[in-house]
Amino acid sequence: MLAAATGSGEIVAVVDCHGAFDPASAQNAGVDLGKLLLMQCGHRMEHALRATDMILHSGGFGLIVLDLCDVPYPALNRIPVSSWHRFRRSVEHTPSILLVLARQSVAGSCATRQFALRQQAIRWRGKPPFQTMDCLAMEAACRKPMGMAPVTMEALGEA
Amino acid sequence: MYACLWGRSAHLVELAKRFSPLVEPVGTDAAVFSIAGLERLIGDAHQIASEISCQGAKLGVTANLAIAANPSAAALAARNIAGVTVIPAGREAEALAAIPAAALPVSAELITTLSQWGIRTLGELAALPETGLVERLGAQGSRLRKLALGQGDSFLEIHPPKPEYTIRRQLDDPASLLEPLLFLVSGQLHELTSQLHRNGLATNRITVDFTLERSQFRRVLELPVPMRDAPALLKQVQVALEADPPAEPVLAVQVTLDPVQPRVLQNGLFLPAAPEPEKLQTLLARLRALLGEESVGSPVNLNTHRPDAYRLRNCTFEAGVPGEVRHDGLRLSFRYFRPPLMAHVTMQGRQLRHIASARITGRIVLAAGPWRTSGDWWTSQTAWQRDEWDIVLEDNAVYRIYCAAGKWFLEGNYD
Repeated sequence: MLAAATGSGEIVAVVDCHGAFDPASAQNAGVDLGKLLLMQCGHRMEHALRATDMILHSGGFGLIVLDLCDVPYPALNRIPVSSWHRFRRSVEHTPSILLVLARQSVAGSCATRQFALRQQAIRWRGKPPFQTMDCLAMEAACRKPMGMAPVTMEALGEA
Repeated sequence: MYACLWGRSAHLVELAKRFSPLVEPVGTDAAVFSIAGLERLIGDAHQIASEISCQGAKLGVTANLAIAANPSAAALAARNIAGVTVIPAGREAEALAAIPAAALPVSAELITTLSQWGIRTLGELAALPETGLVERLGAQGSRLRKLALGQGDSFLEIHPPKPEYTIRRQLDDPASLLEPLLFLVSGQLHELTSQLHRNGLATNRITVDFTLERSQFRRVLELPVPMRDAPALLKQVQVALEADPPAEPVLAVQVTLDPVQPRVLQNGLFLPAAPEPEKLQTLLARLRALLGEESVGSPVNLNTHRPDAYRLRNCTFEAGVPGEVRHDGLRLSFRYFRPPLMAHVTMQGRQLRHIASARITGRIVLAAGPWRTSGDWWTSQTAWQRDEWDIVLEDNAVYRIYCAAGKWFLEGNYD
């Protein structure tokens, strides 16, 4: 999504709660890093939420990614629902997309779309032990709205 | 009307500026200035000349003075006629006729040519037919004749001093709270930005100086794009001062803006929106105050094979022309554990069997590697050498681990 957004000329922001973002693999995936604003929140979820709020209210960003993947479940459950309502109010009448990545559904009824990604098969290239990853297959199931068939996606390794 | 002072004095320009703001210094020994409008204040040209002479005497200036209807005639007369010369309008040719042709501001080659023609004075040059001069000397011939007739069409080249955008306010009582200080800075910024706006300029640097009870406090804010929106500038100052306030009560506040040409940008109807530069700078300042100076910016990959080598640079975004979106499929991305997690890896022979770390523990079902990398061995600070493996655990998750200096680390996972 970042590659598509920056490729179409939009400015994107990544709020990286635990500093997991890898600029090298993002560039390899086609992300224009010159159009990306990265914020590293130093493992502090409150800062990530505040930074997201600031960005949403500033406006002008095509895609805002809030990465909470490494936040443990208890901390995710402690995020007040009002935060998600506030985020929704900020983006609902704008062309911006707020994408929240987490281990579980966090935004609840405030989310317009929800997808569950599950890792499936891994394909390797070469002979053991010197193998390189050829592709990683993942299944994306749409949880909201329901009724759509799951889609299998393949993420290719480096050529 | 114009006046010209010619002499060897350091105060020529100063004397000229007492009578007019429109002064053109010519070399080091002359100054030409406009005296238009002084008739109402002082009187006719002779009275103006007399006044200039009086002021010159007070300053200790010894110089020739000439007054004429155009700057060229005044300059020629001042350079070549001693004392005070007032040339009435329309009688310039007569006044300049006796001046040697060699005094004309032209090349030595042309002076030689005129001399070979037998032209010794400006009067003789002025008597030549214009058509013949143009045929022989081109456009320069016409210009020379006009100069000789005292009809030069030159204009003054004025270089006014660069205005300084600085306002200083002295406080009646020392102020220690930020709020009243920001109120004061706000007024100064509004005044300075309106001055910039009038002159068609913007600023890319704000300098705030506080005079404290026992010391000085200075905060310099560099802006990546020129701005002149006072509220946006005030927000920058506010965020900077809140992060690092003055330690003592403030006695005086001085705000300085560095003038630069404003940024000109043509947006398009079909271009995607981008954050407004003023809002973006305010946003970045607030984010830096929240997350830290080094945690906000656009990532730039460094030109090295060292893993996780990038830096965050200050960013300025502009709405760009949409490029071509790549449709060559999804690419594997990597997620780092920063800092890398210490791990304990159990080996059986040369096979990796089990990993235990604070975050992940499990049996290794597949291990690809080792991939040995090293670099920067020529420097002691950033040298690295390590063996990497990609491992798959029982839950099908793929991780990257490495061994460096005999210790195992979990670096991240593939996503």
